[in-house]
Amino acid sequence: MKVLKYLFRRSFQSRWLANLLTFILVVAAMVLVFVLHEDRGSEDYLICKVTPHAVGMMFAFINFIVLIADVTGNRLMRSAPISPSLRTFGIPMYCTIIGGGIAFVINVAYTVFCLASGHDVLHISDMLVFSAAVTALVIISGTLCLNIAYGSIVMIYAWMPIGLLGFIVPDGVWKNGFGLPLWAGVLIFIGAVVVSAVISFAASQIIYKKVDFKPLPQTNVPHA
Amino acid sequence: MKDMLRSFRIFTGNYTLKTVFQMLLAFVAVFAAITLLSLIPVEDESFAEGFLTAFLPAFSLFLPLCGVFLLNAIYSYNNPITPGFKYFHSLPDSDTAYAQAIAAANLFTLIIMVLGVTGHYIYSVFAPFPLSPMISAALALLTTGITNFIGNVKNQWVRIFSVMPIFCLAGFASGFSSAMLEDGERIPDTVIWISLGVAIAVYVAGLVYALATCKKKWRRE
Repeated sequence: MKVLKYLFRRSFQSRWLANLLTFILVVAAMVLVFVLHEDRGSEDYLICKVTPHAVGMMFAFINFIVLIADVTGNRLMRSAPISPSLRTFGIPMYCTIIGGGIAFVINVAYTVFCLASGHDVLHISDMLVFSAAVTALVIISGTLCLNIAYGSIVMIYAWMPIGLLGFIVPDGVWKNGFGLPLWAGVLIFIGAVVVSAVISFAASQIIYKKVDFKPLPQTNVPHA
Repeated sequence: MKDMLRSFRIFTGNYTLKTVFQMLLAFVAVFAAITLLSLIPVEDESFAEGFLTAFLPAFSLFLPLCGVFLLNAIYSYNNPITPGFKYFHSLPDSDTAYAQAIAAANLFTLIIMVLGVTGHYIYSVFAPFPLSPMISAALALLTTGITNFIGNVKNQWVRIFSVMPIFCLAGFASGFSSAMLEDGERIPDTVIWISLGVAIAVYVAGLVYALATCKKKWRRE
């Protein structure tokens, strides 16, 4: 808990303004989606589902980017006594909470909007599928970025799948959605979060054994 | 030169410098891969063209960003909330090391910017790249100059709102350039040279201000 407290204090308390501004962007994207909402059959049907997640990804990445300076980029934190628990527990847990949390907030807001305005639940399940993909991407790339030496390179490539969605998703799906029932959407989202969290924890265990971020031996520290 | 390099490594090790160089290489890889992909003949070329004129300029925003990374890595050690703040202040002659590290960070940033602008220029010769390399160089110099001015400021409002307009400006510049390229026009040369001149002036002023005041600000903490 001590390491989680450290990470949250560094990203939210010390940089609250950057978080606030990006969260305002997320809210603005959600409001735009509510106003410009498209029904099934329209060409922009799935764009409404992707946009808030792309902005949510930015919110998560801002947190990860500022933390690089305090976790892997800081010369003392690389060899601090909390280094083992920070790297094997704190960072994957933090990435899961941030990535899953922002996706949860977006999905809850969208669900309330759909239920209140009388849209069918297929909208929500389509949203959840994208949510699952983006959240898995955020959790795994955040863990790699904060754990590996020079890992911020991951941040550049992590955006690419979003840009390549135009190639991956076929035209029919862009207009009509995936057509999955709601329970399947929820299951895919929860499954994606759990699987990516497990991959993150396993990856950080392996990385910690390989990387040179170890606490200094106590014999080297002079007594006061 | 040796002293500058040593002072830079006292604060960050080789870590930050390698990270930034790797990110630069990653961007070169992305640019090269997309150029190669766009050379492959496909039936529907509209997506590739749209990608080149609209999405790719977003990547060139990295050049302004490189003005922030290396400098802030050093400036952050003059902030009491950074782990290691007391340790680095307790070192003998730490103010001189701080000034030399800032000079080294500025030098490395300049080298990275020259590399980036050269790559950008080579790319724009071979592919229809909308954003002029001179404009991205101007934005990068402007960001570096402003980062030098606000390096020791702790107020978050000042820090964020002084750099944010540059990134908005970069977005607008790439948007306008893309729109003009579609109409077969270019940004007038006078605008480009004036913006480059202003950027160089801000950069030099920021550098002189940072080097003149950093020792005093280090001792004050």
